[in-house]
Amino acid sequence: MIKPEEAALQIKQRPAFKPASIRPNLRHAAIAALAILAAAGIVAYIIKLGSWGEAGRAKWAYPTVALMYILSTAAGAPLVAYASRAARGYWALPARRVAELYIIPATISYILLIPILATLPPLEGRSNLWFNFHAGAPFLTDALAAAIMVLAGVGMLWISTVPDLAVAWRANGELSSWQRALVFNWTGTTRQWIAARIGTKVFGAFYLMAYIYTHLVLSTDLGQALVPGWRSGIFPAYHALTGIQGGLALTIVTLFLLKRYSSVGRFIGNEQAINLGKLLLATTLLWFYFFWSDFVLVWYARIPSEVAAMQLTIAITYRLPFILGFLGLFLIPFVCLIFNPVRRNLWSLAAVGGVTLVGLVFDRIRLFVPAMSHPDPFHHSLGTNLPDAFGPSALDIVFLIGWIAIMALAFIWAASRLPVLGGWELRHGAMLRREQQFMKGHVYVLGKPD
Amino acid sequence: MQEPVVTEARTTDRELLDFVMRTPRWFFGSTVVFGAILAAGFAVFILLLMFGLQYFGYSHPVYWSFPIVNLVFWIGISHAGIMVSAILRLSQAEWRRPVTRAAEVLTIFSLLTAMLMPIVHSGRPWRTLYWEFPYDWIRGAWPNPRSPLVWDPSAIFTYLLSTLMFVYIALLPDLALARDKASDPVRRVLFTILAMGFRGTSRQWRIQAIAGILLSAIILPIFVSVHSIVSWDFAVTSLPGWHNTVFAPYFVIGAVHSGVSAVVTVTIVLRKILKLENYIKADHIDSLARLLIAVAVTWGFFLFLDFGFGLYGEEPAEVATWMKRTFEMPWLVLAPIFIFTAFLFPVPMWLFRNVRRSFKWMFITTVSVNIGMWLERYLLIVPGLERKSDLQFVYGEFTPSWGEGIIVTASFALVMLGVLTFAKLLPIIPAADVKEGQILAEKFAVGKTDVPAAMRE
Repeated sequence: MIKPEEAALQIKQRPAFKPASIRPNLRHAAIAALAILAAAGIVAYIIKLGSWGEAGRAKWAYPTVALMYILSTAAGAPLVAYASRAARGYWALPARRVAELYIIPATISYILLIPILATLPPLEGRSNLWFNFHAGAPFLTDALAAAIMVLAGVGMLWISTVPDLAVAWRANGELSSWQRALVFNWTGTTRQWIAARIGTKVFGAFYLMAYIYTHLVLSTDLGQALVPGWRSGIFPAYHALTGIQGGLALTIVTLFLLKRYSSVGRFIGNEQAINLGKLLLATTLLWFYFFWSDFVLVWYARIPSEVAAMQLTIAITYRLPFILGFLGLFLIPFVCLIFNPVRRNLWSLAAVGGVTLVGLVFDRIRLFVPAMSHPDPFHHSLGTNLPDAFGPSALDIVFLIGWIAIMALAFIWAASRLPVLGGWELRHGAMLRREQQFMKGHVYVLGKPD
Repeated sequence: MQEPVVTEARTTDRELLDFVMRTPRWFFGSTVVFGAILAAGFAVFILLLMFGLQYFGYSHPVYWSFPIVNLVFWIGISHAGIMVSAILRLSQAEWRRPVTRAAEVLTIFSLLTAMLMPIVHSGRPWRTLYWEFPYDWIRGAWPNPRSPLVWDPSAIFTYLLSTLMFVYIALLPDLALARDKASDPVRRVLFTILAMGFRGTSRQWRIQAIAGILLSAIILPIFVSVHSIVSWDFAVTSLPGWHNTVFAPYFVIGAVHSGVSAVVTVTIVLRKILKLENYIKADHIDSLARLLIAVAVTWGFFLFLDFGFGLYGEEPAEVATWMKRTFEMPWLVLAPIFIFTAFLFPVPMWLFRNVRRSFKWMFITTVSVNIGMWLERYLLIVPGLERKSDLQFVYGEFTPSWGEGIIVTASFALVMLGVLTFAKLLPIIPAADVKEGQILAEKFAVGKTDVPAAMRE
């Protein structure tokens, strides 16, 4: 019988369970290393801004990889929370807040988005999704899409955190006026509870739509619109899917680290591993399906412009990152996840999640570096002479690693300020789940009130 | 969470087997009506054999029309059974129980109907057989394994066989029940053979459950591959309007959209005519409608990708095809009808709880979806072929013929007659599954409220 951790079932309504935040310490070697890498990332960002204009768009190729990586992983994670709420998946209760907190690193990535959008060439004379609609496209439109996504995500996080924050702050005495304002004067009336439940779902639905739309416009404007002849309708969906795959992998790895290194680990266990493992396997299979749907058409139709674009991103120029991405996003996870013992154990699942996250970096390299480094997007085909691969400089590598460290630190900061577990949702789950005797065995009874 | 069905096990058996054991008068009437429509369809087919495709008025360049539209449509509908049955079984959704059998049966008959369509489409089928058999590997000419026209039959036959296995495994307990309840000796012998000695021992139940779960998992990739391959019939060509990498998932999700809608339509009709009100409740239709909202919105996204990336490259031929599909008669009228009936009308309606729980409105909206989805396939296939391309000197506008209309009507009659005949022979609601749901249903108090619950092993 798959059941939640004992601690999650033992939470009673009274006395109120006080959801904990984590307490990071700079003296801890891993945190200190992250801080150093993050500082290096900020320095690299300032250097890139300082040399604005030199080498043009190509200089921002690897920062675009960092941006799209963060938007794929950190921005994908909150969807785990929304999807489990929409599908009433109680198994995800301890994972929901963890996943939602990743909206904070996704918000910080906005700092990268603005200069990258500013490097984009004019729309005239090249394929674009805006059909030469000039009112702010692509700069304002893309920035607006990402802003709406971030606002919806922050809204979802805030609404779901209000009941827990009210409990945590009340434990320290009366609330100040600004605290009351932040928690909407939360006292736990029936009306407030209904509003909180509806609010998380509504913001979640908006977040999902904004996430898909943001991936549609950004993956097109920063990716295929800059490579002449690259015309793939499935590409935005592929990009959004790999983002969800990355979000799942990131949630799994974070849950493992919390279980291993924090006091909230007792709420996290194999129930989460089994279900997240199934989802990761499903997205892994979908990765192959989407990739194959794209590949087989180009291979079969043999239209020269499409074949050249495929040779650039897959077969010839960026073959190595493609192979590494293929291994990390499909082959290794698939071969591991088809075995039940791997999916049922948070440790082994986190290892697979780690491989997926690494594979995603290479996938983003093969998609966005050729696009951002291509000097002349104003044609309908690449022709027969493929451009050379654009390798990373030392500064690019520092940038990429530094911004991944910034993402991790932003999460740790958010998790130290806000409760890392959704206390009210855990209590709700504990009330609706119980174990009981049935004939000669034990069963697990799941209440579904709505 | 659905309110569990609250009837005694014996009452459940009796009510669900009522139509199997007793034949109401309307059954004969409906059989005659469907049979007459089928006969008309068969007559058209004979005329087609005699006169060839010119009987349908086909001329260059539009040779793909209603039969191919029908092929795609019915394969789409066939996706319902697996979507509802396999996925919901794997995800342990309790509300699936009364609707799975109807969905699976719809899959089988719509798939069989779809398989007839290429035969109709070929006009003179013996010539197709001449090309196909004996299979010529040496010439390297068509048919060859790299052609989607060879992938199609492979995928569809695999899907049909696996669906038959899937349905049969799920049917075993009900076949045993029908065997035990049958008074007619012929039926008893038939059900005895079909039930394969199922007596309901714990070992048999365990094996039946494991086989069902395994088949559910195995059938899912087949289900996705079938409509993907159908989509590649179009997409692997470089014809403007057809060559889009998004076609495979777009077709699959479109198939699920129309298929689940068809399941709702069929379920509502069967509930009414077979008096299954105790088993199919507003909760079940509500759950299917919620599922439909998610499916329809995803389909809408892929529709946008098809449209957006059709125009994205600004290639003149591609743009001209989309212009024709949207702004030239008769497509100028059909395109808005398609969008309205498949998306703009039903999806906002489903957002209202009262609509989701109304059998009348759910019937109307799901029929509307399938009108739209049939039109979608028509809009996809014909304008793409009709447009004059560069090295093409003979072309004209396509006008559907009466014969094609009769073939389409006959295909609907065939599916309906098939489902009805199945319901006459075996329970259309899985009695064993419903009874299992009753056993697993629980209730417990949370505060002042009794919360419906279900047991999980």
